[in-house]
Amino acid sequence: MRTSGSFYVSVVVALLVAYFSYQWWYNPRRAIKRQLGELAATLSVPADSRGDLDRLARAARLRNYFAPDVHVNMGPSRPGLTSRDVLVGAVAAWNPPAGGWNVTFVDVQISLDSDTTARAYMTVEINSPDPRTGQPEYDAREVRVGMAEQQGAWVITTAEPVETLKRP
Amino acid sequence: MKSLLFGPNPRHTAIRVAVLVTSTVVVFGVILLPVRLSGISMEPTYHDGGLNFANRLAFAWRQPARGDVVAIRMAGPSVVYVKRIVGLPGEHLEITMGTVIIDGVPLAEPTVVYKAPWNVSAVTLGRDEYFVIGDNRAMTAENHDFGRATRERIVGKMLF
Repeated sequence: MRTSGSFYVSVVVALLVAYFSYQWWYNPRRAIKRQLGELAATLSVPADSRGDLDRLARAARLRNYFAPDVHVNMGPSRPGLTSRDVLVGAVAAWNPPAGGWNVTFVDVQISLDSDTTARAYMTVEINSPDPRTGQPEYDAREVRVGMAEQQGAWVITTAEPVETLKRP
Repeated sequence: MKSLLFGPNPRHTAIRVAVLVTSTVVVFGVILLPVRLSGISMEPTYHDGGLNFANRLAFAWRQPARGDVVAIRMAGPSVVYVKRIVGLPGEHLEITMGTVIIDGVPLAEPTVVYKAPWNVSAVTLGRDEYFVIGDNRAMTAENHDFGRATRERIVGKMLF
C-alpha cells in the first residue's frame, strides 16, 4: 500500500511539474509576452549608442519581430508602412535622440484567436532625457497589434495606434 | 530578544501585522491608485512630478460629474491621463476662442487661469462619453491631449 501511495504522489507531482513547465515555457501567451519584451528592449536606445553600426544592427534585429508583410497603421494623418523591409528601412534611417530612450510595454493584454494567431493590446511607454535640459521626458500611447506564429516564433503582422481620448 | 522582536504578546503583534498588511493591500490595491503626475497639462491645479491618488470607489455610487478631475486609463491602470471633465453624456460641446460652450451656453471654468484661443469643432457626446481637458489652456491645442473618453476608461476621481 505504501508503494502504491508513493507512486500516486509521484504521478501527481510529475503532472504538476509538467503543467507549470508548460505554463512557463510553452504557453503561447507567455511566449508572446517574452517576444514583446525582447522587442521593447530592441527598440530602446542606450544614451551612448549613436553610431551607424548600432543603428543598422538594431534595424537588422527588428526583422525577427515582424512578418514580411506587416502592416503598420501610423494614424489618420500619416501613411502606413506595408512591409517589413519598409519598416526596417525607416528605423535604420531614423536618428535616435542624443540621450537615447527607453521603451517598455505595460498592461499587455493578449487574446488568442487560434493556435497560431493572437492579438495584443498594450500601452507603450517611452522615457528619454530632454536633449537641452537633461530632464526626463515621458510619453505613452496605446497600441493594438496582431501576431502570428511563423516558423516557431511569434511575429507582428499588424500594428495600429489606439486613441485614448478621441478628438472631435 | 524574543519579546523585543514580537512584543510581550506575540499573538497580538501577529494580528496587528496581519491587519496592517491586509488594510494596506486593500487600500492601495483596490481603493486607491497611486498616480505620479507627469507633464504640465493640469497646471496650475497639479504640478509635474507630484504624487496623487485616484479613488476607484468615487464613482461606485454616482456617475462622474462636470468639474471632477479623473484618472483615465490607457490599456490598463499603469498609465493614466489626469483630466477635468467638462462635458457630460449627450451634451453638445464646442470650443470657440478658448471658451468651452455646452449646449450653447459658455462654461465658467474658475480653475483655468489663461485661455489660449483654441477652436474645436462641435461634437455631440455619446451616451457613455465624457469630454475631458486639462486645466492648462495656455499651451497650444496640438500639444495638449484632450477629447472624448468612454465611461469604462474612467478609473476614479483624484483624491487631492
